[in-house]
Amino acid sequence: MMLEQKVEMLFRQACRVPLLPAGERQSGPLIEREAVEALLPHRGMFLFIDRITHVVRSPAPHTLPAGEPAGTIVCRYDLGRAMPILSGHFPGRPLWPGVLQVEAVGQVGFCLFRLLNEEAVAEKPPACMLTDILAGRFLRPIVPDREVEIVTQILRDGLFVIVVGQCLMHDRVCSAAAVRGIEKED
Amino acid sequence: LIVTRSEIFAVVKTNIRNIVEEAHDHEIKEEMRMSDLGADSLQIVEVVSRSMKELRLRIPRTDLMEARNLKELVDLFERAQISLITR
Repeated sequence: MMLEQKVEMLFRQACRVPLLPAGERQSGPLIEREAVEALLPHRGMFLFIDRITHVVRSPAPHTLPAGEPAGTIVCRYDLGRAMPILSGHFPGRPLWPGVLQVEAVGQVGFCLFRLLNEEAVAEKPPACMLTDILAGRFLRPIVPDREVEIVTQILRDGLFVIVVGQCLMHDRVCSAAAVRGIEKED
Repeated sequence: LIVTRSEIFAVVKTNIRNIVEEAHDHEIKEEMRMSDLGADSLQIVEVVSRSMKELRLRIPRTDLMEARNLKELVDLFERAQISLITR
């Protein structure tokens, strides 16, 4: 099966059901926001990860054939942090913007990419660049009543990495996205 | 997968033509840079990435950045292939 078909299948799955059952999504070692900042260059209001609750690493992720997920990650984000944005989107009816949901999926996926990469211990997190939004679907509005869970899987595509993920509230899929990006050289 | 130098160059040329619209009608020579053919930085990464996948090569990005033209890129692919065979 071609890589594009595998990405499409995974994206369709991400639109339908949680990529991991609820019980498994909090079974990993906890990585807090401070440690996440060592993996990503995003800061302040534009870092959409408060903690990582689960990481699954596929065996030998660097030698996997194209299209095989290299791992799965689950992160949580408190939407209370987004209130300055939500106050204008929309006044009196706050909703987490879809474009930020796609951004969050990208951040979580890149976090996993860094965790799978032995060079992740480098002092300065590398810049990462989103190159393509391959797919996106917004199924339910995300209102800021509690934390959102973001579940992603990553697939290698040569020098690029493809992230397929979803935003969950109350164990229901609110959105799914597939993006492609690359680690950016300074 | 063992391919000759000219086959490696053919893979690179095909990917340039498929990805860089402006290069469709150009003759592509080894001494050229992809930017000479109208490729932007992302298209260059795409050409290199697809070529490596097709040739089943894995080359560190720091090495790839040293290639200044297509000849040096093909040299790099050829050396990577030889090191794979002799490993």
